[in-house]
Amino acid sequence: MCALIINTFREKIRNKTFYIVLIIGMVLMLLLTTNNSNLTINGRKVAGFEQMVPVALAIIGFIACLLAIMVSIQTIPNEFERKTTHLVLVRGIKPWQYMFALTSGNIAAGLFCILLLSFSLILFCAFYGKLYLIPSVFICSLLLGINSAFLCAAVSVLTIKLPAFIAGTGGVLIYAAGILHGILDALAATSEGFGATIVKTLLFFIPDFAAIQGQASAVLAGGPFDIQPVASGLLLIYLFLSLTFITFRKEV
Amino acid sequence: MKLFKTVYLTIGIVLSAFVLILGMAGLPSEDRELYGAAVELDKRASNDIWPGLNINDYPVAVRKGSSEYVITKNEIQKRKPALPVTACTAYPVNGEMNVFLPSKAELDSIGQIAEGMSSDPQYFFINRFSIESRKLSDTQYIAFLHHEALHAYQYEYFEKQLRGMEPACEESEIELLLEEADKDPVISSIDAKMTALLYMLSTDGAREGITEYLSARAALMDAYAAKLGQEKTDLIRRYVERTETVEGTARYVEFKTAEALNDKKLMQQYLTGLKEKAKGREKYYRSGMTLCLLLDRYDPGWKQQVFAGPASPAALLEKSAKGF
Repeated sequence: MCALIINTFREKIRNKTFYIVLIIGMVLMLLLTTNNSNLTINGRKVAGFEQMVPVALAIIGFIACLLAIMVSIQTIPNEFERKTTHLVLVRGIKPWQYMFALTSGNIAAGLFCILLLSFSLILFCAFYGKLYLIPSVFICSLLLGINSAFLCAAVSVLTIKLPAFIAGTGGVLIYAAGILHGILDALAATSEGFGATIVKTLLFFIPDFAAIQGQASAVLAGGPFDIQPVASGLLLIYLFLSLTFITFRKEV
Repeated sequence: MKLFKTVYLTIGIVLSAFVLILGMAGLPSEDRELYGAAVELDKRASNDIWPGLNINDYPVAVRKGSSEYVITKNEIQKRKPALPVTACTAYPVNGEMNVFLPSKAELDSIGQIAEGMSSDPQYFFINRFSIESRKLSDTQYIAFLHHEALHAYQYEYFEKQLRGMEPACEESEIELLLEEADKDPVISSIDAKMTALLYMLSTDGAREGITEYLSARAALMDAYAAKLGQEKTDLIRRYVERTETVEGTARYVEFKTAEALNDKKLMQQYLTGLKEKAKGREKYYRSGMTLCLLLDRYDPGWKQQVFAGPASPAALLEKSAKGF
């Protein structure tokens, strides 16, 4: 199973598009956060390290999640299309092990992408003369990795049963729901009826991406740290990963 | 493989237990501290905010997710939410007025949830999300606590009088009527003039400005009568006066809380808001607040009369203006 995870991971990180998007994202983030631009949020000029940290993390979070969807969307459908599934299964590997390994490989590639993106965070810290924050950058990247790992797991599980295009759209919707989690949650809490129940149920299975990003920001810029969204995010990754034990395509 | 399964299962159990324990942690310390700060403020500045208003006279029900934590004088108890939805309000539970508010973190998510949603959700979102840095400050949360506590106070002592001010139809019907009527250019221009006058009065409070504002107010009612007829105008008048009495005073209490906490930035935010053209109920929250601030200047005993009368802030100011 480890060999399968490593193979999937290697295949994913060989993809050139992966690096192109990564470099564009890094450059964009550095340009927006280190250039003395006229960046304003809610009509207020954003400047200085503490104010720029959430902006930098939001950009990195977005790029990482985009890459997570890109990385995961084709892995499992390609295996079925190439008929590699058959070759693997005849060697005594069980279907759940196979799906679990492919999903874990995707998660590893998603985390690798976050690791690469953390170099731009180091440059960002260096620009503001805060190189002593390098250890915090890694903790911060690991926290951001929760969002990206969850997306990898969710999209991978979706691709087992659904066509890649639908799974990709699902991934984007999950990302949007995760980022707007707090708002949607509060809106659902202020409403009654079937729609509100559906929204609450769906949100129960999606981590609060913004809250996790907020904790990453607290690690880097200093501030109160709340472990709850992080723990819930990890539990949801576990749950989605566990779904690979019971989900498999009939075609081999 | 057996080892993998054991390790995997153990991770799952540990994670689930951890999340469960965190979920049972109770009311966040942030909310407890804010409640404590509000009670302390009442001890030293209750008369400055509203004489007789004390938050710890009422159980405060703080909603967090699907749980509600009721804070009374000495303890915090968890209960099943008394209201079906999250809201900022005051409502009787088992014969006792409760103050309802979401936790600070939840309130941060969408700003003032219940207030102002009734008429124009789009405007509500734009307005709320333009509040600097989206999050409420601690002072704002304490101010909201006082806002809702004032409603509890109003309905505990003056329910009968305030019910007597209610218009003879649903408020939503009048809000629709107002929305339509406010598109009229004559009404709209008087409205714009009143907004400008209110802002000016909030900063200098000159007597001439008050007379001019009251004349503009009368002209607005005449314009409504010309457009909608006297019967509908009477409904609008009652709605406006009641909203200014019930909600305008509550907004005034928010402002006075900010003042008691010496939060100049928040006070300025309330005053600057008067410059903007507000829609729906929000307009009367603001006008009511300004009228109360003017009454502080020209009729210091107004707080004893406003609910007991009942006499709307506008009526009280008109009475004072006769002596100018």
